[in-house]
Amino acid sequence: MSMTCPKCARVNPPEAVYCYFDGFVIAGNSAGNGPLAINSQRFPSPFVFPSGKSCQNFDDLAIACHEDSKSAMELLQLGYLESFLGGIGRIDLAQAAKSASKYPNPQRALDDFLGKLPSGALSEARLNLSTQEINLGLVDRANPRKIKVEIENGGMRLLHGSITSDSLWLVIGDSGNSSVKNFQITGALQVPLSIAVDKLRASEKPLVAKVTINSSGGKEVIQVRAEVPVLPYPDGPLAKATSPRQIAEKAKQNPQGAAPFFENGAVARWYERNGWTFPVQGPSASGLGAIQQFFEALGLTPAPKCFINKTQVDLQGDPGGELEFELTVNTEEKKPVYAHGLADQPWIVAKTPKISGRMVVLGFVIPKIPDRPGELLTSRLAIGANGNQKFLVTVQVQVSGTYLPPKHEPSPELVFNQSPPPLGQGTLASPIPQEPMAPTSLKKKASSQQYSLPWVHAIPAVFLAGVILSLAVFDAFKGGGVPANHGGTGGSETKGASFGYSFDSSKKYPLRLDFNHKERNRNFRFGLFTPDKPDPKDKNRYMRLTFEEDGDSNNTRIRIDDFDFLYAQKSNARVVDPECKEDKVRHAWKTAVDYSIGDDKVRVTQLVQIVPGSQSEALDTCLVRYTIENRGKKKHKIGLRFMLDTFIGGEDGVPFVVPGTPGLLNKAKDFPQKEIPDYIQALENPDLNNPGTTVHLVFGGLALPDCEPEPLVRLVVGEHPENKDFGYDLDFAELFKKEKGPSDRFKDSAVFLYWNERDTNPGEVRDFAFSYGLSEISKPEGSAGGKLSLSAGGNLNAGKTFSLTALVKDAAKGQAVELTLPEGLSLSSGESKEKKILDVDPKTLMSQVSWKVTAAKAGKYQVKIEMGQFATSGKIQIRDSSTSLFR
Amino acid sequence: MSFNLFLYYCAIFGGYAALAAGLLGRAISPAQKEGSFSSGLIQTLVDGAFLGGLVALAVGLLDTLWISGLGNKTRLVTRGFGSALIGALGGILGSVITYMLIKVSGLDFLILAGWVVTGLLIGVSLGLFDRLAALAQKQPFPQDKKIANGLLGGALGGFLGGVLFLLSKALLGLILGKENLISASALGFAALGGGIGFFIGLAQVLLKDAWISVVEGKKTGKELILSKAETLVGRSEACDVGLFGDTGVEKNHAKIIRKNNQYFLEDQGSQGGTFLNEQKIGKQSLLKSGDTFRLGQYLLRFNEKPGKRN
Repeated sequence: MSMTCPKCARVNPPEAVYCYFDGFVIAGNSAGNGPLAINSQRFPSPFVFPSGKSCQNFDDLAIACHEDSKSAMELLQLGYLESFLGGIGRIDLAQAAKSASKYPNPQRALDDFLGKLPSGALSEARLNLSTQEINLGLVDRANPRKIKVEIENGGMRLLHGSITSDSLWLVIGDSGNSSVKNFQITGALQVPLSIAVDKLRASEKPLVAKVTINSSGGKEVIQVRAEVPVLPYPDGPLAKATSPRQIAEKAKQNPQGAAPFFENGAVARWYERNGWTFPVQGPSASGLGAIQQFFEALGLTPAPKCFINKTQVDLQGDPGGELEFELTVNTEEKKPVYAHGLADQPWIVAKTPKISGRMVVLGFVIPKIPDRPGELLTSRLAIGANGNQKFLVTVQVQVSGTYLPPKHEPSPELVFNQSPPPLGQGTLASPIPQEPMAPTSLKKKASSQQYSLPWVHAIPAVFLAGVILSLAVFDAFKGGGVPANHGGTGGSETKGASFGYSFDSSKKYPLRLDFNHKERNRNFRFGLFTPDKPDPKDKNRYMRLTFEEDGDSNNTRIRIDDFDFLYAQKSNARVVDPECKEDKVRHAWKTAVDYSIGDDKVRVTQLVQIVPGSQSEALDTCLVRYTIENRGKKKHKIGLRFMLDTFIGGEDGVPFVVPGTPGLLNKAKDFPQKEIPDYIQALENPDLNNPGTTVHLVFGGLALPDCEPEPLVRLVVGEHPENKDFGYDLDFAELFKKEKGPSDRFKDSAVFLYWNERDTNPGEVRDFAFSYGLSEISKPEGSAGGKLSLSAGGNLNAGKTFSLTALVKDAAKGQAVELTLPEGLSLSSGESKEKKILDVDPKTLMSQVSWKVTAAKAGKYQVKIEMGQFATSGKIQIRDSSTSLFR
Repeated sequence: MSFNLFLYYCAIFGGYAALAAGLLGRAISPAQKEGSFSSGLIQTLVDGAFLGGLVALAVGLLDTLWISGLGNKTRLVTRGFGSALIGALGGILGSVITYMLIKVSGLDFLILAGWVVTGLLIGVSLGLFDRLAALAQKQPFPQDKKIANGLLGGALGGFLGGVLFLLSKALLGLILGKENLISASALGFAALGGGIGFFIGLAQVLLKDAWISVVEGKKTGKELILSKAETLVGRSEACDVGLFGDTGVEKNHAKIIRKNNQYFLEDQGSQGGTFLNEQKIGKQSLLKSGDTFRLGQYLLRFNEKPGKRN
């Protein structure tokens, strides 16, 4: 039966007394002969060093490693020992060799490995000291001294540890101020100890410092004694004083005599010679103040409570520039104040304090602002005052310029000694870092890669500008937007934009304004003519849309509190000249007139401008706007009436097409508010194949986003009264009791527009508008053959209702006309698709039917009308008008 | 990101967002636009919603990016879109109020009031979202001044952005001799959004009490405002100040606590420790302006508004 080792669990032969592998006694076979000496058991094959030394067992191996440590360290690092031990079945030792080989310090690695070997050939490290007490005797503070302590390794393994001094005046090493050193030795090491004489403090008792050696071979303490006698004060009233207390007592006895010694720093120097810290920080006060200063610092006299004027100073300046600032320390007590300041940054320099009784002015200067543009530099000033009162003042300097990130510096790496000294020689390792401490080795790993160059940040702004510029180019060259004066019978207008549009004076527009306000007898009326067409009857004149080019036969009447005014022509009306504006080529004209009503004032603004027609989009329409504003403090009853002397294609009197009115209108008619159509239309010729000039007069559906124009309350179409200053009121029965001219047409047609005469509250603004301009009717298409034509007018905007009129020639009374609408247009409620002709003009044989149509959305629509075998179609453009606050 | 860069990007983000809002509103606005009250109102609502939503989204994303970086995408998305929702409501509310005001009073200049209202509601969206989020998670309200600062900045941005809007739009219209231009509208929107974004950021920066700046480590130069009563610093996504990419920084490494107008640095039991002026701190240490503290490889500087404690 085979035997299993109770320690390593390996299987041994039945007769085994000790484990073949670890020498442990196998239970049941104890022969009482003790364990097997595994250290001297032969290896299956010897381990041979590069020098030729052969190791037969673990003892041989340990001794060989000790004697040829350099080779052993290499063999360990290269993994030969690990392989060998694994090969002989000692996996545990192979792992120990592997882990030891990873040590950064090869000497310590080898020692660690040797500690794992089952061998007693190498004795453990043991700390031996040459002495445990050193008496330096009398030490002169003027003569630095050095001593040496010998440390010996009494064993064969590596002795390693640290040497620590507990006193500032005893420094480990030849120089510096290190109080800790590391060591590792196999033999002996002489450790130098330096006496830091500047740290010695004179005392009646001997100074004792302890040097502690903590090592792998034990811990020992060496006591170092030194005697530093006090130097008595040499002369004067303070002579022979040997302590600060005696100085204070002598100064109190003879303050006048002692004061100069405090003031000139002699006492401070005596302190220094004895290695003591003089309690008064900063410059000395003068006279008896110096003694008070000393007493306060020692706490023998209560110090006055001091105040500082600020604890934060904020400055800014250019790199390289100079800055100065002052702080004030004072007290409310009747005692002198002493203060001084010190900065923790080298770029701030303290000036000599100005002591003045209960106040000290501390001046500081930054002679050269560091070249760190864009940074906020911070320094803290330690301000000391009477009785060691302390104030901390933060100084922040904003350096102008753009912040530049620090350049990347490679992080310092730990460097290990790759070639350790041979065994037997002592080495002093690096100082052990004091705990706790920050991971300073990583401090300089500032990442400069996080930064982008400043210009990179400009890319989004440039791109944004580029997008807007592209849109502007699109608008400029692709026809985006609408002309600034756009208005007319539809589309979007912007209030006050009449002068925002620049007309091209080199081009001829279909319609042009004329007015006479610059003449001596100006009357602020306006007229319309077509600069590209001559008058059919007078080749020397342009074709007119008003009887006079300058509109002299038109007039505008304002009624305020039952008193009539011709627009801008009453003595109590004041034309506001600054607001009388016109564009360069007379396409827009704005005037404002103030009417004085007692102490109140009413302003009436007239704005006329050429705008694009809603269907033609050409500048062929005149938009007329009046704005009445009660600028007074009382309400006033205000009404407005406009008289238009129409003139069409050389004809002063033409019949009108009025949606909703059968036939053509060639007799005077008074339309009450409910019957006022959206528009009326007139043709120069009663021939649908050649209608000549066609005009539109629009009253309803003018979409002005900034206002809701008031609707007309009365419309009169009739003869011109032949009085250009015709009054406000129109007595229809009296004026048109007998017809003038031929029965089939007006002789001198005119249109009278009335807006509501009502109370207008203080501050209230009322808007009125209509448009008058050229228009087109659809050319007869298909089978119409001059019998049918279409026109549209009114509010030609999406969601609104407009009028669609079929002009019919040679139709019989009662004949049906049918309208076909495309998707998007629908008949208004109460309207039927088919309508009958109710009246025919006997002279021209013209008639008309009209429908009210609603547009659902913007777009161009093809509309068709049919009458018997005749049919035609026409295009209607429906627009959106933008009225958002944001557009 | 430094404060200057933050302000710059606030303006840029706001400008882009408002530009997009303007173009979207133009494309999506209902067709039945006309001079009537209702259609104008609908159009204004659409514009206001887009303006408020997108500018708030932009500012929200930027603010969250500034604080947490890209490490916390969940927070980035929720905070950005949460703010956008509130901003959109703000935009609608501001538009409606102003539209009514103008309609009732007839005073056109009140349009500026609309932008002020819209701007201030965009401004409060971030702070409001933080509070709503705290409410939803049953956590105490953040004791910060984000709402007040946003309100002030947004209102100022709305006003000055509105003036810029009108000026830039008029200028472009004058140059091109046209109206209702896409480019004029785009320029106006960009100016308005840029103004709102810039002033929301500026209010935060100017009215800050304390802030920290990264002196060493990733994102050196980055500055962060301490607006909350407790600011958690670490590499966890939940941290207010995310210091990512450094395993030396624990998930919840340290906390900056505001108590009685003073700030304290508190280590959260980190293994590597927190070092104030290179000295390892215990549980809590008072912070003074100019102090530096180290977490892993990061070195941060604490700054306080001059004279704040006085």
